[in-house]
Amino acid sequence: MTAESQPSAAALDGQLLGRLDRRRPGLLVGSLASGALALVFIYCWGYQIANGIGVTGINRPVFWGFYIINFVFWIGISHAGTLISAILRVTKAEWRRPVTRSAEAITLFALAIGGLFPLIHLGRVAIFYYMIPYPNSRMLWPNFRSPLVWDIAAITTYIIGSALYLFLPLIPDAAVMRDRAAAGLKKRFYAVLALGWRGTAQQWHSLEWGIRILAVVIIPVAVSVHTIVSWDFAMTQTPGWKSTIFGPYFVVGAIFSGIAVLMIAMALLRRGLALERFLTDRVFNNLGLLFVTMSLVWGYFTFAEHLTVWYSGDLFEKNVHHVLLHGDFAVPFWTMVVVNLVIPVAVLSFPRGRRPLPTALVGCGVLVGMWLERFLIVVPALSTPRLAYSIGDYMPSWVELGIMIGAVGVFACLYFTFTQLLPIVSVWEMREGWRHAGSGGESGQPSEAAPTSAAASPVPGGGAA
Amino acid sequence: MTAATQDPLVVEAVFERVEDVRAVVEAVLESGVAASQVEVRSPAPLEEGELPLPKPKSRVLLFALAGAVLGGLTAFGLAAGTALAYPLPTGGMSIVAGPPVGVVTYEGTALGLILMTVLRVLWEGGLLPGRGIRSGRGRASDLDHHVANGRLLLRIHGLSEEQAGRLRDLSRASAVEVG
Repeated sequence: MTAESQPSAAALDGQLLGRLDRRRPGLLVGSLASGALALVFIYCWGYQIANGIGVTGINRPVFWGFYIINFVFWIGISHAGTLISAILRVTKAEWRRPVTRSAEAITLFALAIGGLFPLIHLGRVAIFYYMIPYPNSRMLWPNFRSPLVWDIAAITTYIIGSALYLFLPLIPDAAVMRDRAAAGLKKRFYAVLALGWRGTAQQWHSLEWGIRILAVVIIPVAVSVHTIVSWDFAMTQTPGWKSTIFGPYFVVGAIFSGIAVLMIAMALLRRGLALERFLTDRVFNNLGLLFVTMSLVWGYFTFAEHLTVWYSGDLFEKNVHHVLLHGDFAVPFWTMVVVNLVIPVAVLSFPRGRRPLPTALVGCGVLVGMWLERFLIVVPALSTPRLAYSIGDYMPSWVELGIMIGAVGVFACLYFTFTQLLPIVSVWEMREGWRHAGSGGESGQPSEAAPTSAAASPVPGGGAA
Repeated sequence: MTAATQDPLVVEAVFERVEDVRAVVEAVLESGVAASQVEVRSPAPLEEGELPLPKPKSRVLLFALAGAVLGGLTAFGLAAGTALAYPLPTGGMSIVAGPPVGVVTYEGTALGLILMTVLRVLWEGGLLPGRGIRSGRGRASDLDHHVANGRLLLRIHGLSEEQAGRLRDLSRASAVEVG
């Protein structure tokens, strides 16, 4: 993109903030459709609460079914945002600027949904508080030796951290919305979010410190969350689960599926909100490169995991391994390998494949593949236990299917609503990016032709691929 | 540029460019106005040294570390204290097991750090309820919407009548528009 064709700050404000002033039919349809799916979620969960956990297909020996698969899946998706955004911030990647807000929102909503699944799996939701560390009437505390209690600690920390990591950079943009809105409910809403932000030097200085610290801290927290989720499996003696590399394997898978969602969301936003000037081809190219890298790393871990099991000669481990590669679960297993490894490498290795549509399509495939991966971790291991007489099968009920599909609706509904209410691309970070570029920063776009005013800021990182 | 006055003792001016603000701020400081009376509101953070004003101070890092220590100690106490208060049969192994206590302490440390960081950011920025609006600093202005639209707002407060008049003229001198 040449300097002349880059939009001014007025155009930037118009494009980003103007989206919120007028209704977009696409977003409205998306909200309604996803809202309808969210109702399915509510109905199915309500049905299960009313009739008990027996309405699911969970039974001996497969005690963990779709709910735990979806728990791991959604927690994995949550790594899209905060982790990716934090890594890009810490490494000062200029092209992060249009991406971070969208990614952080994905994290928060995916975490909220992922965190619901263990509660749904409990059946008796009301007794959830048994897991919370407080002295109850019998003065009993939760058993901190259980990885399930570590889950509570890790996910609580991550969801609070992610919410605040989304909220802090949102404050200046909420103030922008407040000062642009006409008096009324909208203005009051943004005023509450903006907390009295005025853009003083002290406020910016403190905010930058806060974001910097949170970005550094949230990375190990995100890694710990999925490591601990993996320990729910790896700390057991169950064949197929007891693995020393489950921690990093889960983290890699989480980042991989997180990037997939991010690609899909960005491609939709770019199209739906006409954000081509902000979510440029360059952004998709860079994310595509990251994506193909994660695909290869995931492939490496998968190979390492299965090679050691095969080589060990352990009878029970090999039983699970056999049903995965050659038995009842061979079709989903090899489908997973194709959509997670073969297709991403084949498509994203070439620059033409790293455009919005191909990356989004590959992302959809990877989401399917990563869901299958979690399915293949949970079900084959439980349905192939050590004792032959307890071998069992698992078939999800319509309630489980409804909750799984409905959860997608809840997520989409939250995301669409967020997009309609708040700038999905961080306005102040874009302005800051231009200032860096204008002074010879990384993206280096407008050095000569660009005016130096904040009010006439071309788009940072807006170059073509 | 737009210049306006809300109050006889406060001069406010809106600028398009950082360079214009810098020129006016330099002149203002040379005229004897203290740097503490000058406030610049910007739509994005300004680089250090872009304006001839002292760099703001922040203790966010210090509070973050304090929060980490506090959170870590609390989590350690919770996990280790629970093990000691309700000892389970461990077959001769340690009652306070290192790995579980370590995991919970790790998460508690991070949580304490995160919470204290955010609280301190809000405190320093005057964003907590009942905090920050003192002696004109951080107070809402009729011209704030210019900042929302990408311009810079210069506010000089605590001025005498004579100073205010002079600074208003100074601002107008480089103004594109005067309101």
